Amino acid sequence: MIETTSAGGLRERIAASRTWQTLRAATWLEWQARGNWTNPILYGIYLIVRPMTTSLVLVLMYWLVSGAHAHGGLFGFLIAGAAAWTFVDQIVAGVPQAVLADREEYAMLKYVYITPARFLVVLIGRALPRMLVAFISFTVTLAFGVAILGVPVDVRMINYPLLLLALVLGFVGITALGIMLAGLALVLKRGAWQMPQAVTGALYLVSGAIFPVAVLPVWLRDISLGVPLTYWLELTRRALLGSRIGETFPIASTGAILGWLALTTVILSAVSVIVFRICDYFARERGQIDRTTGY
Amino acid sequence: MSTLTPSAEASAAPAERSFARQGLRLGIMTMIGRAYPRLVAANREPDWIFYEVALPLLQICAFALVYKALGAPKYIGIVILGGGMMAFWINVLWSMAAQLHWERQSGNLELYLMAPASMLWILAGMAIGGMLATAVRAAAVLILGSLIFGVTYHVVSYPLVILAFLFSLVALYGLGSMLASLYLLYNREVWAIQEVIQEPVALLTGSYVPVRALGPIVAGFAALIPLTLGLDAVRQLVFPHLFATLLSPGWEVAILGVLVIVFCGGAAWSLRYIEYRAKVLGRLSLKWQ
Repeated sequence: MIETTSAGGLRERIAASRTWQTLRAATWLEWQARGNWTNPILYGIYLIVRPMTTSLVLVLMYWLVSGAHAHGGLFGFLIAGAAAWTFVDQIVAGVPQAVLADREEYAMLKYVYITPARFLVVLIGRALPRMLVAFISFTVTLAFGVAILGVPVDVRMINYPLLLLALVLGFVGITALGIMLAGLALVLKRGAWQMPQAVTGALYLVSGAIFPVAVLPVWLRDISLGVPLTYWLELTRRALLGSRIGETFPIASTGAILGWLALTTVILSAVSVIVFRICDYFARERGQIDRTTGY
Repeated sequence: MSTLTPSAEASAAPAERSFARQGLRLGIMTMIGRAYPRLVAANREPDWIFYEVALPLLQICAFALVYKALGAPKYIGIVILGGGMMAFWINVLWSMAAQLHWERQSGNLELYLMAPASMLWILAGMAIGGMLATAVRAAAVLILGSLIFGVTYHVVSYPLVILAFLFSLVALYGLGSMLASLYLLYNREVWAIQEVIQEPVALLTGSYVPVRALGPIVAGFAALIPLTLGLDAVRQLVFPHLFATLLSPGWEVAILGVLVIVFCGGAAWSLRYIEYRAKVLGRLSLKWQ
């Protein structure tokens, strides 16, 4: 009995150690794959150019309508949304494309699959550096918005616990979505490379990344309220800019929005893991682990 | 000084003409051959409707809804037109500028360089095929976007609209051909460069706001990108008096004419340089080189 228990404990320790090793190796691999093509300064510029440019486009749109250098109403709303969207761009669109690059450009995916590592853990590891990169980009874009463009964020008034909670729940939901799309990308015959961008584009519209969901048609607004990213963006904005920024949001209470975010994130995570496992099974059965779709 | 006798010169002239005719025929066949997959083969996969029409439309809708949220739906037409023209920029960036890089990675570039036709004809085929295929997609985006948001157009001058549109496209594809040569000097960086320049160009060319909003100095520099003046001219001609403009449409078309010469000439020069490096020096055409 004692032997069985100690053998079970040993197995658990080995499994935990293997998970940790896999996570560490996948994280390091992704970090290198993302950044070792250039020097750190150029890489830093590369990280912030896209969200900052989107922010500037939105600022110019705002100033075109409201007059040069106006800062009222939606100004902070636009910048906060554009900055936060970096997480979605990096992970939801990025992780599936990293998997496809491993399979088709570097032809390494089959070797990753035959190691004892769990592929789900590999994917989480691949998402972690992207999260860090997105966080840096988010912070720099916001800082640029506050310091240069005059976004009304008072660092002393930010609701940090709410921001932290929103970001953590958001990370879980976004990573789950990235994993689900990575699984789907493995089994798609055509359009595997474009599919993550397509989903990100649809979410950009549905979750109200750069406009209040109140302006959406009613049927689209209903869909919007089933997506965790809508709640995540709303909470991030409320934490940064105060509750008044969400006056037009269909749900008034911040606590209720937090509850909806938690609920939809749990559902999304469960669905994502199931979809990923099904896709993973079919990809193995059909020999799609070393397939090439881009030719 | 010619070393041929007059009779020999007389017999050589038709031979030269025949040689030139053959060269021209080969070039045109090459161009058609390279345009074919973009025009015909690409349309065999109906999923392009989703990825190349619905996807850009989603982003355009998002920016159009920003104007709606700001209480200025009159500017939605600017976004729709900008989004339609952006389809050409995306095509130039990913299917022209990066194309020779992809061809090198897949081993086709060596075959291109060994073929008797000039690289210029191959690039011209890519450009024409890409331009026509993208025109169909851009038109679909424009029509659907206009229908969804109820945008109406009041065309001031059809000839100027057509000239501005064509000049900006030719100059833009010339720029794409120049970038195609430049990208052969890079490897993995190409992907990053593409991602880095895609969005700033959307900002600088005024895809979602009139370019004048950038201020005269930045807008002046941005005018070096052919899309900027093309878009500003077309917008002025279909949405008269809606926004502050950079120059009059006539001037913008004239400058676009100059950009056509500059970028197409630049493309020819840079492609000759790349052919020299590949054929004489044996560099640039091999994977990972």
